[in-house]
Amino acid sequence: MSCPEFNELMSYADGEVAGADAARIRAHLEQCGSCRALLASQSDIENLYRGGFTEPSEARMESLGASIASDMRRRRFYTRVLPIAAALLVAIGGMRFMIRERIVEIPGTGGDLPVATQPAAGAGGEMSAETVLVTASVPPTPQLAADDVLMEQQDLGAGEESRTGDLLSQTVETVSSGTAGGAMPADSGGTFYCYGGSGTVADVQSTIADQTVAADREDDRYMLEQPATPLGGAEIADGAGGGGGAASGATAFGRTGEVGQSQEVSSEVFESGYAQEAEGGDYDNLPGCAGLAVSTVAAQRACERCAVVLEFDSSGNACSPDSLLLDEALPGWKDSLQGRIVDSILVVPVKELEEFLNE
Amino acid sequence: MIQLVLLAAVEVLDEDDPELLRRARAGDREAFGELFTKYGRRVYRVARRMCRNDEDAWDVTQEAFMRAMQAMPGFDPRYRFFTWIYRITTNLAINMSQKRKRHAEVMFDEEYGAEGLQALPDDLSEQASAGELTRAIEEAVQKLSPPLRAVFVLRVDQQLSYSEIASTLGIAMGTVMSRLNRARNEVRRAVGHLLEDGG
Repeated sequence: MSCPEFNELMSYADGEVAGADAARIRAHLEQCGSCRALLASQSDIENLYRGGFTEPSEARMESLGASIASDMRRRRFYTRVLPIAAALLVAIGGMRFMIRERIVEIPGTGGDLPVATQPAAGAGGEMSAETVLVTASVPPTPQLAADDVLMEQQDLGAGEESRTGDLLSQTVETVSSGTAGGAMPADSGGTFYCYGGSGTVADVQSTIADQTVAADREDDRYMLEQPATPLGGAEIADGAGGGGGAASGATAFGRTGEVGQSQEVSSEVFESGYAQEAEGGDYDNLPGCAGLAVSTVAAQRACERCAVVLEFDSSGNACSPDSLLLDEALPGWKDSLQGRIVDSILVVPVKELEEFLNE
Repeated sequence: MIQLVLLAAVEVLDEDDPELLRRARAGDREAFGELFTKYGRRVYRVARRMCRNDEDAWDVTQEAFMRAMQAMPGFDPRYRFFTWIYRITTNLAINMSQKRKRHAEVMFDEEYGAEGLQALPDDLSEQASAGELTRAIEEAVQKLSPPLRAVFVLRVDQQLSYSEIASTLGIAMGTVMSRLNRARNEVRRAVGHLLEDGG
């Protein structure tokens, strides 16, 4: 009887041969001392190999676990936040380009640190927006108790549902020209922009008729990008002492530096502004996004100083041009969140961003 | 319902494996930590078997878990987690081996001479202790090409079935068998003279 091949013998020993083949090999082994010796020696080799391993200590495994956890945090931050921040900066840059903004020095800040961008006259672009960017290196110029203002915002009833269709008048108020600069701590480094962070807009009041309502109208979107051109017949009043509306002595965001001026803007303006901007985008369900504002404010408050705030509706659709721009700039970026953004708002704390970059 | 999503860790608990995997797939870091507790040693062992040195093995283990975590949402729960992470591990280790190949060969040659283990003096075969033989076997396995080594480690050390090895490495069963046969023969040739019967 001829001996089985080595691989056949080993397959048998590995339990990978069944049925008649297994019976045949078994029968052969009963009669063939040479094959038994071959299997035995191979078994010795493999047993020695298996048994020769030195298990790592528990402490070493724990150390590895800690390293992995740390690495996870760092990479998560890197893979999620940095692209977002970068894309947002690109988006902001793009918006700035589109609206052909000009940099405006804010009076009284002693330099070019706090800047606001305004659409150039006659720009008339689809992005009829006014965007305020605040550099992180802005010195803590007159901050009119931003924290107090934030508290005041809290008292406005964050959490109430937005009533998008309601006609309401809205006053957007900044505390002072320094408020914008105060959006970021002076020691926060000069790398990042604070985009719509709380503290940039000190106070927002929304009223429906005579009733103060819905802090959720404190939408950054509104704060940041008021239509430069009145839309839908709505009116933006801009003048010292108030625009004849619900509030006076207010300074509209986007008019940073013009302390004492105020705006009264109908919500229709904003909705129209959204709608207009939506023409170039996919804002099919903007009203569904309106409720995000409350969380936006809450999010900003939670992280105190936010570098990035992005809004998405419950279906994950972009709720603002910046969100959409981010989507376009970085397709699939939400996928990197591994489903953990159940849509709505993503907040990137400046501090976390800084910590990462300082590592 | 609006939900606030911060970048803070989400802490959740786990019960059993399917639930653990479900939570890990959902991005639950704690669940993933439990997966590490459960599979960390095995993964390290595979990595150590595949890598030339301990430092590389730790690096591979860490990277394997990192990659698994990042790819976890795409993990198909129909497959076994260990098979999946073994695959990541062996691929990483193979890459690492290729990167270190030149260095490893130099080290090996310095230690054993250009002929490797086969250059060991004959009299050693008679005196070979179990420890020496074990070391010789380990060195012989290390000398295998990474693809052969991967099959050998998964079968001999991890005792995976041929089909599990095929699934882990993404190769055909026939390839598993042929590689395993070659690996065994090479190891046997390398240490056979140290065995009592001379191999």
